[in-house]
Amino acid sequence: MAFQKTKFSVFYQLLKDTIQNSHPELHAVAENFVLEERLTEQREDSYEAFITSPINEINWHGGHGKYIKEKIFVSPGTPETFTNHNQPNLLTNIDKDQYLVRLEDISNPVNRIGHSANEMFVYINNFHKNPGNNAAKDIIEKFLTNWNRIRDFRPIFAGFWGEVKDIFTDLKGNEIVNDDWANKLRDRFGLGHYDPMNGEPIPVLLLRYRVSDILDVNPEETKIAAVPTILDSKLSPFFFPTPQNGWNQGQSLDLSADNENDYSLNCEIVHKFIPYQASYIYHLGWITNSPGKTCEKARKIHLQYLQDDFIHSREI
Amino acid sequence: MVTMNLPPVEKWQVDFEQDPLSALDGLLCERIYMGRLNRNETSEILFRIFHGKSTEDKHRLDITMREWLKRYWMAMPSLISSSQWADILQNVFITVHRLNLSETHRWLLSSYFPGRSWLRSLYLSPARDPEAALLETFALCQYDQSLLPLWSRLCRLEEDLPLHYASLGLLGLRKLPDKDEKPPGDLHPIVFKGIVDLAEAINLQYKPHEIKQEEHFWLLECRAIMALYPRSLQYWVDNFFPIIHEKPESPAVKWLGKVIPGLQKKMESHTNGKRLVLQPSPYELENILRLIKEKTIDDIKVQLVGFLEKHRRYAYQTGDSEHLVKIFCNIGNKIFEQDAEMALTMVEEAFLWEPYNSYTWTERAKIEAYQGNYQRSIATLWEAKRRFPENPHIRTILANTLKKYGEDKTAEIIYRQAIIDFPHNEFCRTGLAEVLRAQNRLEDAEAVYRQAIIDFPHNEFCRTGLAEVLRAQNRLEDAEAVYHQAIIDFPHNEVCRNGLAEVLRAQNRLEDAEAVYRQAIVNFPESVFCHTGLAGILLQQRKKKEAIDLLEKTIKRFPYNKVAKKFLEKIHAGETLPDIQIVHREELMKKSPEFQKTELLQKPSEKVFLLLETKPVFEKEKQRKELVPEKTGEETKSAISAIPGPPEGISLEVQTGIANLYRLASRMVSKEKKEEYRRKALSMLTAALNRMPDNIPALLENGWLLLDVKPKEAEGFFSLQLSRHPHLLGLHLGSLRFKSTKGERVERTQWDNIINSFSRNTTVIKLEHTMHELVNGNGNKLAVLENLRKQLIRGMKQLPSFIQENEKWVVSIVKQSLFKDIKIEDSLTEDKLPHILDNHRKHENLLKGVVEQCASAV
Repeated sequence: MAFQKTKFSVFYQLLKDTIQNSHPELHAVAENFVLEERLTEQREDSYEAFITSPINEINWHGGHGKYIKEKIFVSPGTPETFTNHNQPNLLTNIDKDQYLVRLEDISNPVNRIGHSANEMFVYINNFHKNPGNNAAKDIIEKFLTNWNRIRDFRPIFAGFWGEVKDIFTDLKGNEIVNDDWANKLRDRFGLGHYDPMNGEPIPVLLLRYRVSDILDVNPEETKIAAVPTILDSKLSPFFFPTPQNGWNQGQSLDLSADNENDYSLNCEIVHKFIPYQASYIYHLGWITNSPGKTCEKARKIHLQYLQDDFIHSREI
Repeated sequence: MVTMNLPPVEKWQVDFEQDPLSALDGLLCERIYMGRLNRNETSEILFRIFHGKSTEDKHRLDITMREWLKRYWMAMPSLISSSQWADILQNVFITVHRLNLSETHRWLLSSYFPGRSWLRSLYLSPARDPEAALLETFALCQYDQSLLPLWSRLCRLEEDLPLHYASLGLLGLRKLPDKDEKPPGDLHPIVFKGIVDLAEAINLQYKPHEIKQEEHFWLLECRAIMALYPRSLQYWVDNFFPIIHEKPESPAVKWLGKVIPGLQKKMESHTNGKRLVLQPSPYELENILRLIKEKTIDDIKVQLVGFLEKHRRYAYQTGDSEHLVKIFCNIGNKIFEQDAEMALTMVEEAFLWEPYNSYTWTERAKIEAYQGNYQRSIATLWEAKRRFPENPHIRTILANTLKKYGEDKTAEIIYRQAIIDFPHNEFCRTGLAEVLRAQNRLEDAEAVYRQAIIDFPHNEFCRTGLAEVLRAQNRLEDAEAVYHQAIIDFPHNEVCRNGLAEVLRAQNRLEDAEAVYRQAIVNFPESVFCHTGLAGILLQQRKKKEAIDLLEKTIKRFPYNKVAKKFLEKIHAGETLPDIQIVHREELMKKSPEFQKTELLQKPSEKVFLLLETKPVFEKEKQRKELVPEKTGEETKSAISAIPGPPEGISLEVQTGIANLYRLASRMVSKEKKEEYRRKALSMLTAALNRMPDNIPALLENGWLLLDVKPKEAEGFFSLQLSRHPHLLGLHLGSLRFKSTKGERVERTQWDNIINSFSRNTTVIKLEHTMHELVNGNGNKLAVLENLRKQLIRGMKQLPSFIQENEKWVVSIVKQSLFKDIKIEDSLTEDKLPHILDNHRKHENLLKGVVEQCASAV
C-alpha cells in the first residue's frame, strides 16, 4: 500500500516533498511511509481519519501521535496491530518455546516509585546472587507490580535471543563478561532513541522470556504477535519497514559502529502486552554511549539489503 | 539562525529559546517530531535535553511549564483526545519530579484541590491516570507535612479512588519530611498507622471474595516497606504494637502476623512497647471553652495556641483527625467575633484534614460571611450544597444567608426544594415560613406554620413563629391563643412567655403583660430578657422609677449584658426607645440551640444598633467595605494550599448552583413558571460554560438540563463529553437516561459495568437502572425492583463513614417514595407491582433529582 491510493495523493505528495527537502531524521520517517507495503486497506483507512487538513508536517506528526494514542497505545483495549485489520502481518506459527528478548529503559518506572536505578540494580543483583533474599525479592516484586500497572497495552518490540546471544555467550554457550553489552545490544536492535546524548547513562534491563509466556497471558488468543509496521509505534528514523515478499519478520537497523560489510540484519517482531516478572530479568546495565552509526548511514546500508524486495523503492 | 538543517532535537531547542511556550506546547502535545528521540516518552525527551543544562535553562523550563499548565488547567487543548490528554498530563507531572521543577510543583500544589474533580474525570485506566502521576510527584517531593492528611485518607480508602492509590498514600507517608522539613531519617510513626488503617479499610469495604485478592496487595506493600527499612523484629513489634494492642480483633493483627512472625505471641507477652500517643484530655477542652467564655482571646492566646498545638500534634502523629476537626471548628465558632482570622485559619486547617466533612464547609462559610466576604461565603455554601446533597443544614444556612442579603426569592425556592428532599426536617419548614414572612406574604407563612405544627407537634418554633405571623397580621387575639397553648405545651420555653407578654402589650393590656413578665422572671430567673421586657412594660405604664430600679438590678446581675445598660442610658438621657422586643427576639434566637445549628451569626439588625449605638461603627465599616473591594481568593488564600482559589471558580459554583436550583424547581411548578425557571437555568449555565468550558459541575448540570429541555442536543453532548471525561458517573448516567427518553432499552451489562467503575454509588446507579426498567423494561420490572430492595436493606458498614450520610439519605428517600407503603424487609411479589408503579409515577421527579444530585456531588 504505502498510501498509494488517489485519496492519499496530497499526503503522498507531502511525503515525497519531505523526502526531498528535509533533515535526514525527518526524511527517514517520510521514506518509511513511502516504502511501507504491509499496511492493509483497513489500516490505511483507519489512519486516514487522523490526518487532518491542511495536510502538512505539523498536522501529520500531530495526527500520527493521536492515532498511536487512540489505536495502538491503548489502555484498556487491543491495539489495532493485533486485530483482523492487520491480518496479513500476524504471526501465528512461531515456536512457543523460543526466547524473545527486549531491552527496557527503566528510568521512569524506577523514579516513579521513589528509587534510583542504581538502587534497583543492587536489589536485582542481590536477588540474582541469592534467590532466597526475600527483601530484594519483595522490592523487585513491588517495582514490577507498579510498573506493570502503569504500562499500557502497546505492541512490544522484541528480538530473538538466538540472534544476539553472542553478546552474552561464547560459541560453546558459556557466559562471557561483556561490560559493553547494553550499548552493543542497543545498536543491534536499532534502538537509537536510547541515546544518552553525552548526559546521564540510561539504565536498562534485558528481559528474556519465552513465546509461551505471552500465550499464557492470552490463552484464548492466536493473534499475539505480528510483523511491525510504521503504524505500530511512534514515528522514528530508526524504524525501517519490511518488504512483504520473502520476509516473515521485521528487520531492525544495525547501529553498530562496525564497517559496512559487517552489517547484520536482526529480526524483530511485536507482540501483545505481557506483565513482566522477576524471572524475565536476564541482565541489567547502562547505555553510556550514543549509537555507533547515525540513522542516515544505517538506513543507507539497510536499504541496500532490502531495496530489491521493496515494491516502492524507486519512489524514494 | 537557520534551523532548517538542524536535527529536530536541536531545532526544537532553538525554537524553545525563541518562543518557549509555543515550543513546549508543540512537544508536550506531540505535534512536533523530535527526530532520533521521538520514540521516547515526552518526559524522557525533556529529561535528556534538560538534565545536563544550566540552572538558568532549567528555571526557564520550569516557568514555561507552569505557564503552560495554567493555560490548560481544567481544560483541554483543542483536537486532543482524552487518551492523549491523560498521557500528556502524566508526562508533565513526571517531568516536574524528574527535573525538579519547583515553581511548577508549587503551583500544582495550590491548584490540585480545586482541580481534583476535573483530573479525576480524565481517568481511563491505571496506565492513563494523570491524578496518580501527580500524587506520585507530590509524594516524592514534599516540602513540609501539609500533605499528611491526604496520604492518611488514601490509606484509609476514604478518597473515591482505586485501591492502588493506597500505595501512593503509603509512599507519601514514607517520604513525609520531619517537622524541621528535612527528609525523614526513619519511618514516621504515621506510616505504621497507615499500614494498619489500610488493612482495616480493605476488610471493611471489600466483599469477602475480593479481600483475599487485596490482601496480597497489602502484604506486598508491607513487605516492600520492611525490605526498604531493614530493622530488627523488635523494631516492627515496638512500632505496630501501640496501634493494634487495644484492638486484637482488628484484621490488621492477623495480616501483620503473616509478615512479623511471632507478633501475636509478642502481643500477649509484650509489656515494654512504646507508649501509645495519648489523646489530649477532654477536660482541657472544657477548660478552654470556659476561658473563652470568661476572658478575651488576647488574654488566653498562649493557652489556646498550646491547646490547639496538642491536638495538631496528636493528629499528625496518629492520622486521627476526628478530634482536631471537631475542636477546631467548635472553637472557631466561638472566637470568630473576636478574631476572625484566627478562627478562619483553624477551620481551614480542619478542612484540610476532612474536606468530606460538611461541618468544615459550613464553618468556613460562616466566618467568611462574618468578615463581610459575602461572595466567598455564598460560593462556599453553594458548593457545599452540591457536594453534600444529603445535608439539610447546608440548605437552611444557604437560604438564610441569601435571605439576609435580600435574595428572598432564591431562598424560598431552596426551602421549598429542601422540604421535598427532607420532608421530616423541621427547620426547612420554619425557614420557608420565615422567608415568606420576610416577603410580607403573611397568609402563606401562616399556612406553612400551621402545616408544620401538624407535622411537628413538638417543635416550639412552629408555635412561636405562627404566633408572630398572626401578630404581624394584627390578629392579636389569635396570636395570644397560640402563645397560651405554647406555654402549656412547652413550659420551659421563655420565648413563648415573652411573646405572649408582647402580644398583650400590643393590645394595650399592660397589666396582663406585666403579670406575664413577672411570672416569667420567677420561672426563668437567669433570663435577662424577661427583666428588660418587664422594664419596658413598666416604662409604658409610666412607672419610670420602678423600671430604672429593675434595670439597675438587672445590670448588676448580668454585668456583660449590653442591652440592659444601653436601655438604662437612654432612659436617663430621655431618648425615644426602639422596640425592645425586636432586640430581645433576635438575641434569644441567637442563643437558642436550634438556631445556633442553622443560623449564621449575623451582624446585629438596625434596631439593635439603635439601642447599642453601634450603628455609626457599622456604617463606617460598610463604607470602608464599599471603598475597599472584597478580597479575591488569591489574596485571602491561607498558607495551606488546599482552599479553593481563583474568584472565577467561586462565581462558577454560584452560577451552577442557581442553575441546578431552578432546573429542579422547574419540574414542580406551573407551565408558565417552568419556562421562566428553565430560561434562568440555561442562562446561568451558558455564562458558566463560556467562562470555563470544562468546568465539571457546570458540564454535568448542563447535561441534565439538556435532557429536560433539548433532548435532541443531549445525545451529542453526552457522547462528546464522555470522550473528554470518561470517568464521570453523571455523564454515564445521563447518557443512559437519554436512551431511556428515546424508549431504548439499556442492557444489564452496561449497568453492571458502571457499577464496577463506580462501586460506591451502587445504590444510585441501581435506582437509575430501576427507573429505566420501569419505563422501558419488558418484563424485568420485578427483578430490578427486588435488586434495588436488597440494595436498600444491606448494611452500610462497608462504606467509608464520609459517604454513609449520603447513602442514608438516598435509601430513606427511595423507601419513602418508590417503596411507600411497602414493607421493605419482605421480598417483592407481583401484586405489589402496580402500587410501586403508581409510586414511581408520583415521585419520579423527586427520584430523578436525587440521582442527579448524587451524581453531581463530585
